Amino acid sequence: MARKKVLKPRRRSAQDELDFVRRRLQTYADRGVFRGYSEKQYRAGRYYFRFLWLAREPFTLTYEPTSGTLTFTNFLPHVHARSTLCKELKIFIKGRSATHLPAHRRIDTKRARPDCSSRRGTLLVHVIAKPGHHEYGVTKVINLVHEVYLYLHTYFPEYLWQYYDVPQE
Amino acid sequence: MKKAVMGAGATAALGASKVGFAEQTDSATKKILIPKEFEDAAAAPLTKIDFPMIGAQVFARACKEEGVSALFCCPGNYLIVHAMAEAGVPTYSGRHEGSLCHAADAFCRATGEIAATSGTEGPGFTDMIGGIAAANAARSPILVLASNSTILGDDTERGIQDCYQQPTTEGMRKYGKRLITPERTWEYAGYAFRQLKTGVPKPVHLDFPAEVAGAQFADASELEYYYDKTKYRTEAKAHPDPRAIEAAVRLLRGADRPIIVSSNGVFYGKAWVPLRQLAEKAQIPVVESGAMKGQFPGDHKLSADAAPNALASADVVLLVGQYCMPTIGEFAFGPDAKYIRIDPAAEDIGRNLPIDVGIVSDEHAALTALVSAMPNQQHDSWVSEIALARQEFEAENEEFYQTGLGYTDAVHPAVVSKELAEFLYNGDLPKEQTTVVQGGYGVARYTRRYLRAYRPGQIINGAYQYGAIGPDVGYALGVAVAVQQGVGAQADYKGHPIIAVTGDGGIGYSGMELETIAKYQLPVITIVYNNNAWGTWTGQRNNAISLPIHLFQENIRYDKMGEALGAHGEYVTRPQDFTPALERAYQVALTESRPSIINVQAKKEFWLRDQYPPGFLGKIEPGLMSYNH
Repeated sequence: MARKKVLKPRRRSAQDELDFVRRRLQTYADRGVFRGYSEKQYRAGRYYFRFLWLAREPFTLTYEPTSGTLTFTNFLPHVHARSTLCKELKIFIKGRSATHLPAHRRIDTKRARPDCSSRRGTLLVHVIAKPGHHEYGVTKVINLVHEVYLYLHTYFPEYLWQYYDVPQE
Repeated sequence: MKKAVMGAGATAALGASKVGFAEQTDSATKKILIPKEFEDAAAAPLTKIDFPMIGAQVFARACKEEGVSALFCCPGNYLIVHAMAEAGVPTYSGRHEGSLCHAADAFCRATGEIAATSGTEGPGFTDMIGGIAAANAARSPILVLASNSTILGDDTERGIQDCYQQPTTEGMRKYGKRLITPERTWEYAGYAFRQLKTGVPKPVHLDFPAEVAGAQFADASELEYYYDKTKYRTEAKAHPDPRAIEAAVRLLRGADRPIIVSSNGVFYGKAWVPLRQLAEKAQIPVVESGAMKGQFPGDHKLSADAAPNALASADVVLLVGQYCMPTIGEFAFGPDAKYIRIDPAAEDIGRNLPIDVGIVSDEHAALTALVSAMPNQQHDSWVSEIALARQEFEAENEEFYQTGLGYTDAVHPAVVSKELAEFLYNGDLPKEQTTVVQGGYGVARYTRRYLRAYRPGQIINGAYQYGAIGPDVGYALGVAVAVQQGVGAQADYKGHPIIAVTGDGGIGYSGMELETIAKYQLPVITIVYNNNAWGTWTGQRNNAISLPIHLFQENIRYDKMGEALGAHGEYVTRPQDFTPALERAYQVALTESRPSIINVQAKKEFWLRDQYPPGFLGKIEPGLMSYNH
C-alpha cells in the first residue's frame, strides 16, 4: 500500500521566503505573462508588487512575510458586499481547495488556503501560505486570480464588459 | 456539357421543373416565379473565349484557371462579372453587395477555396466595406473586384460614383491594386493569386477602370507575363527548421498536460490528417478556435472542444494556424502554460502571446514533421480530466435546457440550441452531414454550447473576430452555394440542406438575401431568434431614455417576410413547437430545395439572470464557444 506523503513544514527564513516570492513573480515577468512588472515600496510589513496582466490597469499584489498572506488588492473592484456577484465569487474562491479538483488546479490546504474579503466595495483575493510554502502561495494566488477571471467570463460577462474593457460582443 | 451565363454550379441548383412556389394561394396575388431565363442559362453551352479578348476576359480566364469557385455580386462591374460568368465561374447575383461579400467570405470558410465578390464603382464598392473588413478579420481569401470609372476621368468627378477605392481598403486587405496599365492585366492577376494562395490568407482587392476592363487584345503578345500559373507562383510550402521541431518535441515530451489549438491555418492548409495523427500518437487533446470548426472531430476522445473547464490545466499549448492571436487572458490557458506556435508568417510569431518555441512553417508540413519526431505517449490522467470536464459541461447544458423548457410563454435559447443539436446529431441525419452557419449575438451564447463539428468546414463561426451583427443570411448564401456545389471541404456533403442561425438584429441587415437564396433554390433553413431587442439592451434596462435605442417592435413576423420573398415560413411561440417546425422546414428543403425561415418568438427578458436564470451567458475560448479568436 502506498504511504501517504506527509508535508513537513520547511524551515525558511523570512528573507528566503521573500526571495522565493520575488523570483517567482520575476519569472512571470521574464516569460512575458506580466508586463511592466515592478516592486514598489515596503510599508507596514507588506511588500507591494505591481504589474499589468489581465487588465489595462496594473494589478497590485501585496505580500506579508510574517503571515504568508498574498493579496490582490484591486482585481475585483465594484463588487459590493451584499451583491449576488460577491456571494457567488466568495463561494467560488473558497471552493478552490475542494478535493474534487485536480491536484494541479487545487490549493492544497496543507500548504495554503484561498480566501477573500470585502473592503470598501472591492473584493480582495487572498492566498494565505503556511511557513515554508510562500513560493507555493504566490503561484497559487496568481492561478487563483486566473481562475476567477475565467469564472467571470463564463457566468458574469457583464462585469468584465463594465470594468475590464472586455468587448460586449 | 459546360453551361454558361450563370455558371454551371449556380444553374445546377435550379431544378428544371421548379419555377414557382405554390404556397401563395391568395387568388388576388400573383405567384412568386423564378424567371425562365434561369433555366435557359442553365441549358446554355459555354462558348470558348479566345483572342481577340478584352481585359475583362483576360482577367476572367486567369480566375478560371486559378480555380475561383464562385463569384458573388450585384449587377455592376459589368464587363468583369459577365466575363467571369461566361468563362464558367459559377456566378450568383443578390440584393446588396455587402451581403454578397459576406457570402464570398463564408464560401471560403466552408470550402477552404477562393471566392470572388464584385460591386460597382463607388456605391457598390463601398457597400462591400463591412464584408471586406469581416473577411480580413477572419483571414478569408476573398478576391474583391470592383469597376472604377476611367483613368481619364480621375479626380474630375465627371459623371457619378467616383471613389478612390484602394485607400478605402487600406488596413483590411492583404494586397490591393488599381489596374491602370491594360497590358499588365494578366500580370496583376498573378500578383493577386500569389497573395491569395500563399501564407496567411486575407482579401485581395483589385479595381478596374474602364480602360483596363475594356482594353482590346488581339493576341497574347500584347500582354505582359502572359504565361501559365506554374510560372508566376509556386505550390511549394515553407517547411520547418529541424531545430525548432526538436525544441517543440522537447517541450511536448516533458509536458504532463499538453494541448493543441487547431485554428484557421489547419483548415486552409488541409492539415487535419497530420493533426489527428499527432494527437493520437502523442495522446494530446485538441481544442479548436477560429472562423470555422471541424478540423478535429468533436466526438473524438481527445477533443477538448466541449471541455472549457479543463483548459486552464494545460501546461504546454501548441498553437497551429492561430492567425488571429489572442492577448494574454483571452484564452483560458493558465499563467504557467508554455506556448509553441506554428505559423507561416515569421513576422507574426510572438505577437500578443509570448512564445517558448516558434515554428515558421506551413501548418501541414510542421504537423507532419511533429508526427515523425514525436514518440508515442500516454497522458491518461489528462485525457480523463478532459473527459470529466466534458461531462460537466454537457450536464450544465442539460440543466440549462431543462430550465429553458420551464419557460413556456416564449421559446428559450437553450431549447432552440439543444433541440437543434438533437435534430442534427442524434436523429435521422448522419451527424457530420449538415453544415451550420452559427450566427446571431445573444442566441449564439447558447447555440455555441450545443452545436458540434465532426468534419472540416461543418461550422462557420458567424461574425468571428470582426463581430459584425447581421451578415448571417449573406453567410448562409455563401455556405449554401458551397454545399450545393460540393466545393472543397464540402465535397462529400454536396446538395444537403444547411442551417443558419441568426437573431432579430441580424436578420434586419441581410434578410433580403432570403430572396437570393430562394431564387437559386438553395435549401437553407434560417432560424431567427426573435426576442424583440438588440442583445445590447440589458445594459440600459434601468435607463428609461436610452432603452428604446435597443428595442424593436415586438412579435415581428419574420416568417411572413420570408414567405413574401419565396421562402417557407414557420412561427414558433411555444417550446414544444420548435422541433416540429424544424422537421417541416427540413422536409421543404429536401423535397422542394427551397429555403425556410423559422421565426422563434422569444423575449428579451431571458437575458436577465435574476429573473430568468441562467440569463445571458459568457464564454470561454478556445473551444466551442470561440468567437473572438
